[in-house]
Amino acid sequence: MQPCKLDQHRIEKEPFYLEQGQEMAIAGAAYKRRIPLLLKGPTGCGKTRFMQRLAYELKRPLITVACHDDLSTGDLVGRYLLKGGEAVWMDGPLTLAVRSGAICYLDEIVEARKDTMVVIHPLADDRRELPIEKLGELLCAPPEFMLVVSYNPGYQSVLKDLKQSTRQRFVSLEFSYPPPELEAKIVAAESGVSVDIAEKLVRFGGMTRSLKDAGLPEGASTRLLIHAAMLMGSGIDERLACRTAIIETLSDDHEMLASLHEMAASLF
Amino acid sequence: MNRAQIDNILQQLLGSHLDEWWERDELTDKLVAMPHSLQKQVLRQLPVIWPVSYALFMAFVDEAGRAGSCLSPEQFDEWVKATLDVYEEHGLRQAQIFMREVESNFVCRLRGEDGIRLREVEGRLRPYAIGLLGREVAFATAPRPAFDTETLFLPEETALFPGREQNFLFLKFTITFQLMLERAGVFSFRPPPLDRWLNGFACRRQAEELYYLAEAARITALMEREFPGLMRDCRPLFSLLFRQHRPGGEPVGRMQGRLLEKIASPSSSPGRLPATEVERAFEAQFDPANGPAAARALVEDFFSAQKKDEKGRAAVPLPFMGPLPAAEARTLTDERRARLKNRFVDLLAAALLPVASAVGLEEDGSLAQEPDKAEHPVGRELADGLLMLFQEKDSGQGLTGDSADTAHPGLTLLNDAGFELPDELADIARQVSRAEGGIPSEYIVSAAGRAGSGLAVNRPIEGPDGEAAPEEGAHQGMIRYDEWDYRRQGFRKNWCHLRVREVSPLGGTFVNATLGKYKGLLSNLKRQFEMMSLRERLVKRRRDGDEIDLDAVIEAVADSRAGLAPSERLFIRRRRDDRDIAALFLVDMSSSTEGWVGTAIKESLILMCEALEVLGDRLAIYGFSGMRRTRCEMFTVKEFSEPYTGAVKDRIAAIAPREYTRMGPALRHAATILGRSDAAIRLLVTLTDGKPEDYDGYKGAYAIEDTRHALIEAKAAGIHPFCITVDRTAHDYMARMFGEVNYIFIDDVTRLPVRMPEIYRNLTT
Repeated sequence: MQPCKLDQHRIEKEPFYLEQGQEMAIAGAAYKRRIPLLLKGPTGCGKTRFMQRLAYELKRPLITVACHDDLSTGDLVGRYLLKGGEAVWMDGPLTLAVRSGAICYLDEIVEARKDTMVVIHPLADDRRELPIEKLGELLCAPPEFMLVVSYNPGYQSVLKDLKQSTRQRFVSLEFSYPPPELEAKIVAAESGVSVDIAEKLVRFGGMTRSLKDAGLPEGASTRLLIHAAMLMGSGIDERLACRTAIIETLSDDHEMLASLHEMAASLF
Repeated sequence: MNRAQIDNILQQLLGSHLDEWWERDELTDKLVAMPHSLQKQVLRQLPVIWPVSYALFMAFVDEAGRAGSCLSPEQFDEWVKATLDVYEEHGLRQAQIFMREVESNFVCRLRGEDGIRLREVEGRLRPYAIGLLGREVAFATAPRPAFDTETLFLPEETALFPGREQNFLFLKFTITFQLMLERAGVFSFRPPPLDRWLNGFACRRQAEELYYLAEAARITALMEREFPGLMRDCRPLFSLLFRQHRPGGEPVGRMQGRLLEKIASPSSSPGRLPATEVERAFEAQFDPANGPAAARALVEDFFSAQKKDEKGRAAVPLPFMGPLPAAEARTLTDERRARLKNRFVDLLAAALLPVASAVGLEEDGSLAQEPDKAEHPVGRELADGLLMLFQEKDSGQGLTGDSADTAHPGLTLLNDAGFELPDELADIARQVSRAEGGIPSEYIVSAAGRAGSGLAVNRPIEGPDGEAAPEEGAHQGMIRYDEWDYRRQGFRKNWCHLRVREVSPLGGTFVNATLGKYKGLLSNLKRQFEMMSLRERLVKRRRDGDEIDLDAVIEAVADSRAGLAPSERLFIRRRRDDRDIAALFLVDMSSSTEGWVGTAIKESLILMCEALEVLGDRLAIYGFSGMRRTRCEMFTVKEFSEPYTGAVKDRIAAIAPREYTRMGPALRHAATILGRSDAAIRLLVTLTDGKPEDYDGYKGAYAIEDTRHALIEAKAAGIHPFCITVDRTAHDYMARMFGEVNYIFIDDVTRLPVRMPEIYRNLTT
């Protein structure tokens, strides 16, 4: 039963990803040397897509866990379930990844409870082992296994900070929005719109990002730009697409919305 | 009403004055001729207008018929008031005109159809301008639009078109056009700088006129490419302007017309063959591929072909083009470039210092003598390598594998030394290359040279040296704190003497005025903060609770079947989140907070107190100031244990600017106070308006490093420091002092009271 479950996590088709720097080479080297990876960066700048591409390149299944504040150790490691009056052990995603030598990606790790975060500590140093208390088992990770976590350092909340004891186990890759030419290529390739429209969208994205200190908590992410491009590709009016996919998503402030709309109206 | 009745009323209203009035019969005649309702309205206004001016009243009677037909009785009153305003400001003649043109002067305004005022739309258009330009830009009013690369001057009111929408659109066009002047390189193109070049002509006025027009043609073509949406929207406006345009006999007038026509319909070709040479050249300007050189050539050709004494009449400039502030723009651009260069060289030199010492550059004595010249061969290689590094960064490749393979000696050198571009530096480098079209090699050479001679960041700064160590027991009631000296990488023991003082409460209206001013905001805040405190959470896997935790039960049953001891934690409990937070606000009371900054800080403190009362977080407020290390002062405004009472309010009101900003000891003392608190989360929020600085040489790198160290000490003690700063120009050192994510800028002081509770909420959720 488990192998077929694992197959769902394999990435068969090459995911589209344009490299910004040497992140692929670094991740590849970390994988070979069995060092876990920490991805930092604002939302929607390509962290998850990078993971998909990495898993594809390394030909390993990718098991993603979106962390939340109710994530318990059992959710990650596994638990006994009742099946037909019998207690059956069910591996959690982390155990599954360790057993099968997959890549385990813990998205937004800071959202997880502090006690849960500690489970990954023995996995993330050179021991590379996962104790499963309930089974009385100590799993040793095969060389193919890799642990990757991500977080967004821009939150500025004292409650959501990564402890030094956790972060100092990782090789860190910083992600930011790609440079304009590259971003235009990405938007065009992802959505199928023309390069001309993609460039305009990227210019719009750049304008919103320069408002970051002037009233916007965060500029438009690449993901938002792609959303807008996709709407445009489906025949939605360009300004309307900007409004619904980008502007209204970014802010609730009345004047800011109006300003953003003026920008979109100038470009499209 | 008949004649007798009217006479009677006039008699009542005006009394004896009426007999002296020789126009009395004429007035009565006119009133009798009016319809009944109008008679009443006019007579009602009589005591209002007559005492101001009877001539005005007579004029009013003449125009009342026209106004009465298009205004409701309430509007009629308003119209009379507006008329009186005009009379008092501009005299009878203008008031008459105002009354005569009741339709356009008053009715349209009532319908909101007149022009838009800059004030109304600034909030909407300023972020637009910032987004377009990619940096801060100020708005100011002036009769004609202009942009000196930092301030955008715009007319107070735009009323060129009948509709509001259209006027707004035209203003937006004007802003975009003016900002594009800089993007298109009008001001930065040299040599020679624009103002000097213009001064070289026999008639500067004419040269500027012609040059601006030629550039306007190019810029609108650029805008057609970059902002097609805006240009499309503006077409109807410009065809209107084009139709109204009276070219006159001069070529400039005809070219203006052609510009309007071209904006109105980009595909249009000139209606007839251009009459003169300059007009033919002008036609070629509608090409975004042109540069400023083409426009200059056009002007030069025109002047060389022109006869000496021929001077055209000045044309009325087009409404979106004002004067061209060439000289101001040059000064400001140069200043900005110099600032950028200094920042870049400082940062780069600082970043290079470790590399330089790794390759033994600093041992070369000749470099120390000539800090800005890296004649040393290693220095030159370093500079070359950096140049390549920046070029790659610039071309968007980053430090990719391919380029690292082209083994360049300089790059290898950098790579070996583990050189990495800091974020701030990369950011500045981008700005420099945008402004200069690449990183000028002299910048890098200068930085490499400075790093080579061991002179990072402007040769920092004498510390408070030469003072005798503090005498033991010299001061009573003083607390002593160590101070960090980065040059010796160690503490100066018991260096600062800090005294805790009381603020003498100041009774007054400040608190009540603030509470009144932010009444709406405050009730919103209270509601929001109440929600934060009431946020309930289901806690799973408790020993007892309100509901059964089904997941836990199933797990327990499964565990027991599997032969394990089942867990007893089988319940879900509904629990209020304990907000175990203690926040200490440390307020900068240095003399620079005088005025608005200080007021805004006090207002925001009051709002915070009110909001935190609801939330129940522990709160303390201290102010700090002082002069020299022997007299650092902390002012207790509110202690943790103290309830928020009238006395506290009065003390907040009494916070006032004092002396200098020695941040280190204040932070250390605040950390000590917070250290005594048993709260799970301890937050130290510093409110400041600039760099730490004291009278005795506590400034620059020394002050920054000490402050930074004090914050690191606080962090080590489990305190979360956070800084709210109302200074906008201090990016690099703030990031160094507080860490990238541990501070926030408030660029508009007046927003501080609104932003601060917001920031606090983000910090603690």
